[in-house]
Amino acid sequence: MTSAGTTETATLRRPWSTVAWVAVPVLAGLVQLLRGEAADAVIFLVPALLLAADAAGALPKPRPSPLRARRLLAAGTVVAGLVLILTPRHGTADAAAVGLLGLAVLAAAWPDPPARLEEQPRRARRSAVLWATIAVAIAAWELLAFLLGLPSASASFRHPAISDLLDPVADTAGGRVVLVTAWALAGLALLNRGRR
Amino acid sequence: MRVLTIAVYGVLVLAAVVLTVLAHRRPGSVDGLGAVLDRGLASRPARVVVLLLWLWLGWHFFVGATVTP
Repeated sequence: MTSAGTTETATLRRPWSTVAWVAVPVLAGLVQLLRGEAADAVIFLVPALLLAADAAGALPKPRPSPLRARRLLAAGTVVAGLVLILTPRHGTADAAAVGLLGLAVLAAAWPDPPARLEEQPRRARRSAVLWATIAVAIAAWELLAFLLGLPSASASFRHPAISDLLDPVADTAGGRVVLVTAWALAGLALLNRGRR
Repeated sequence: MRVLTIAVYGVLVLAAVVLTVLAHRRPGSVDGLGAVLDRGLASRPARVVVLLLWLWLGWHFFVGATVTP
């Protein structure tokens, strides 16, 4: 059996997992529509549609992305980070850097790595649940703060979302260097995860 | 209320730090985030969604409207 076939088998065996993952960008896109941010909604909803179409078998099988492409992406992430640091925040150059990097990263992430069908020990499942609980709790608390802060500026001050807390930091030169570096390093780490 | 809201963020970050320390000190009890991601991101939907969230964070903080005016 081919590696792609093995992965398909694993996906078919756990359809709830695919549905749950596709639901994440759908919900995130709906929240962005609530915020009135159409571009942010598109960032989530278009890939969600592609993932749903892929799960339904409507898309062709992709070819594996070579290691060289991922190395180029790592270099691209560093370049995008420098653009974000050196050019005015919210500018056209920033949009181009993140937009182009986004398209390249998602294209490279689409093909599956060689499948490893291995039984997960109980510890692995417990660990996944613990980390997922923290991630979902942060997202839920952030969403609750955002919703409670919607009525007025004072309500927003009483219930700050993470964006409200970090926005003033990102407005300073030093803060932007720290945030962009953290974001780029996280991306570089994520690019190779799941392929080891 | 503002302090409570921020404190809950702090507690959740602290929980992540505790899990990371636990994974290093007692490797048999819990896996670190890296190991969990390595297993989880082998699936395409998980990999694409996690990278999407990362990309959106970059867009949200450095390109688009970070806070609602």
